[in-house]
Amino acid sequence: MRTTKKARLLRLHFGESERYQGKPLYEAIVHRCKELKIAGATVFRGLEGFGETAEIHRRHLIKKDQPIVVTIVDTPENLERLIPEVEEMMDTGMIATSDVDYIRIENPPISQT
Amino acid sequence: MILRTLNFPPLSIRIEFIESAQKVDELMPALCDMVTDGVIEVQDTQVVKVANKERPAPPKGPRTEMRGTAKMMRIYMGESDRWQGEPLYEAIVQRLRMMDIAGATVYRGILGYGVKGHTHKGGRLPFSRDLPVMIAVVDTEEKLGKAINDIESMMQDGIIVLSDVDVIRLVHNNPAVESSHAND
Repeated sequence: MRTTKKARLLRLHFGESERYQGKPLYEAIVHRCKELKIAGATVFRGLEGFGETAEIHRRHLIKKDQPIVVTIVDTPENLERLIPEVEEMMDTGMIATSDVDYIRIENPPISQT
Repeated sequence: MILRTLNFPPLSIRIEFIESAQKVDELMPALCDMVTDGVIEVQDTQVVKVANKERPAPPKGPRTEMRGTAKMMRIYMGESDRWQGEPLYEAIVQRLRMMDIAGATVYRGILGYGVKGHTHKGGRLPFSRDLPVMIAVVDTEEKLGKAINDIESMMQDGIIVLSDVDVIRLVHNNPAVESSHAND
């Protein structure tokens, strides 16, 4: 069987309109992840949702405030370094983690069968 | 029973609905809290005809709920990755369908970076962009195990993340579905 590694998945939920030092919060978080050499981060935009403040995040004509989810997969140690930093950057929102198995794929470019 | 709420100027709004007396009573405390300025009116009414313009729903068998543990697989790649000339995510979804996997959803991210080391970001031109793409799949560990073998050979780089999930699946028992799942 292939080798799977144990890792953790971190999910951050907040609104698109959240900002950190003048930048969209999700951009700032991805930037910080790179600085901390986190393996990878992906930002998804939802269609509609609500959270802690029960305020509905949806697309408005002039204002963008759809829900944002950032997912990050890395070792527990690396996430331990990241979480306090992210907590400080986020104003409101939710941080969720779960245990995952992880397979990294690196095939040579011409192995397409 | 008809229930009306009225709000006085600048703009009068009237919300009217018809429900059983019991439902109206249930809703009343909540409405009384919500309507701070205006009138709430309750009236007995007789329903003569209920017209429903929507097409009647196709006949469905009884709904059953399937509960159990399963695996969730998330496959991360780039939108511009290709396999035999077609987008990789489409090729993977097609392959999963052929393998009779319960379901797959493709998500497009708006920003990200990962194994390739470059930032996936939307470009000004649609053809120049390479946004992150994630496919989420839920099925049994055994079926996902088989699928991973195939997917690994289709992907050049990327990651696959597996996690344990509890599933609640709502299924309408129509004959076609049952026969296709009979050999599971």
